[in-house]
Amino acid sequence: MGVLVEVKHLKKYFKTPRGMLHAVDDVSFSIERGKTLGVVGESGCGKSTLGRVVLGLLSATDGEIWFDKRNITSCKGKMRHELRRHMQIIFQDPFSSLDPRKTVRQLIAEPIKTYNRLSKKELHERVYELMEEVGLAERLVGAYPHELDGGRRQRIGVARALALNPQFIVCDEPVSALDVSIQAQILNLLKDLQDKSQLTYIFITHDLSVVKHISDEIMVMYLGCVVEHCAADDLFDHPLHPYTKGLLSAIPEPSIHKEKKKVLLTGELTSPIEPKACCRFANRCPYAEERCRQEAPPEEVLLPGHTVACFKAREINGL
Amino acid sequence: MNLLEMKDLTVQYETDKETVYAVNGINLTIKEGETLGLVGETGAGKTTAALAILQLVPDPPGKIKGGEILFDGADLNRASAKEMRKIRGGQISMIFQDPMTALNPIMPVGEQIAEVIELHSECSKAEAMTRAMRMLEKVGIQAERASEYPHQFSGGMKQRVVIAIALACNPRLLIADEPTTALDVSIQAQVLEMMGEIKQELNTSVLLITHDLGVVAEICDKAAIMYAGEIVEAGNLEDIFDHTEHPYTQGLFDSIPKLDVKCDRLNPIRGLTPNPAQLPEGCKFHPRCPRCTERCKIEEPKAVEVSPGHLVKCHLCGGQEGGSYGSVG
Repeated sequence: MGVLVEVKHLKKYFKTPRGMLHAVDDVSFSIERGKTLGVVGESGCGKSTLGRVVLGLLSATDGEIWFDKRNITSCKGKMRHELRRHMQIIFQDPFSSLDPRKTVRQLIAEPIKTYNRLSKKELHERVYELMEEVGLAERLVGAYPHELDGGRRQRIGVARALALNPQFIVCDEPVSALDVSIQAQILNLLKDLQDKSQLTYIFITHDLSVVKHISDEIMVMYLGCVVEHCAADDLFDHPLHPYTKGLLSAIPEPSIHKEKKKVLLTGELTSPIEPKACCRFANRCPYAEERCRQEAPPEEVLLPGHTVACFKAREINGL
Repeated sequence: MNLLEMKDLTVQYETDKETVYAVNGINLTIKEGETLGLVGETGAGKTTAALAILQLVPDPPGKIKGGEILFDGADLNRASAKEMRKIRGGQISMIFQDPMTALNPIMPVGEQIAEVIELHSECSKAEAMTRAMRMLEKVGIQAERASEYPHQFSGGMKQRVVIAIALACNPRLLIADEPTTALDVSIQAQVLEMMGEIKQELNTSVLLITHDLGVVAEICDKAAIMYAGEIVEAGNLEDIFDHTEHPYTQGLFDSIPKLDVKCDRLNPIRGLTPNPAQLPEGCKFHPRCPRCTERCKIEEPKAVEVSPGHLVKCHLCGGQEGGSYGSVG
């Protein structure tokens, strides 16, 4: 299959009055064609920033981004324009990501017009084709976003992302604003589209049950760093990092028979501005020791295909 | 003893153009110290039902069209404005979904808590402040932070402040409208745990409005599933989670990706929730129901008690027509 997207030691810092904010700090990963990488983390962990830097919507502070065997980190102008045809994004909020003054037809036609010269007839045909693909009824072609519910609006977002037959889509919390029954419809749609056209996804979310459902591999982020990265099933069967363990046990499950051992995470996220060289999770970690507060733990492969950044991971998991 | 009893409550929003049937004859009871989860999707009428209890349905265009809301035996629909002011914040209080908009940004949090105490119990300003600080500590915030403003707190902390305000006067009923939806999972777990502890301590009854069946499983005693302004299924947690009867409830469970089962496709409910201004005839769920019959299209089902305390509103359930539908173990 081959690797489609590869990110090496990616960093994105933002300048703030109080110092540099480390939104993404030394993140590396690769995604094979046709696979989905789930990125999970709580608000403020840098997962959306990561998605945007990979797409070039924000410039990287340091590190490299490779797409289809080309280094695209500092790709600009015409080259970047051409590249965007292949990499797209679906935004979280279908309420604010669509122009309220455009009809469904105009919204879906917009990306096509930007790249292809089509006759009016061809353009309309393509719009109908896309609408059918994402499950929007033809009669809605003249509707404005405010006339539609969240699920249908998100389908427009998906249609816009698909309009140019991209190879790679960053889905930034695409179902978080939707009701469960609609959420399931959109998740199924994304899966079907992936199977049909070999799409590669980065799926950013804070919802762990959604990420398990859709991902092949999962990366858990905490304050800009990757703390754990492995196959989706492995993460849920044997989480190794104390943060992942805490997150998993915090999910309320819709069943009354699970007596879960709760590892309640205390405290909250610390500030990502000018962080000290230490494990960023140390002050919330029940296992933290002196060393965790003095140096940053490197990413280590503890089990085949299972990377963890924690000094204590071996000890607490008996490896 | 029933602390709150809603009987046949009906709320509608009337505009020049149309009438929105938000709540259509719901019946609910909450006992002393009990937690009831009211579950439903956007637009099901959950929040309207809660606002009706506090007589806060915006009028116009909203009107409580009928039914009774008995709180401790007295009908709140007949209470005077003065009586309601005593009840709100004193006997019944409410936590809103978004802690960012529920707090006054230009008032220190301690004062915001003390304000409620001063209003409802006759005590001096200083005493109200001391009690406010005690309340802050109870929800896990250091008392010294009482003089800080909302923007100095994180989302989870702000929600704790809102909870402190709601619980400041030891209300007998707490209405929590999606109290953890805006929070991260680890913070949600902390807030839920804290709410559970305080509830135990004060023996408060809680009406928890949520769309998350996981949260219900975690902290509720009973649950009611709402769809298009009606309660389609109600019962204790075993009834709802283990002996699911209504096709809509089943559909909700099937829509949630499971953590312990690997499946390739989810099984969502087809279609969309109906427009509450143009509700379908017969059973409101029939256009989306996988087991819809001719009867469902014309005749509205009545709530039937399939087992003690387990009410279902469906023609196909509980001997209304043949056996029970899709009970899952």
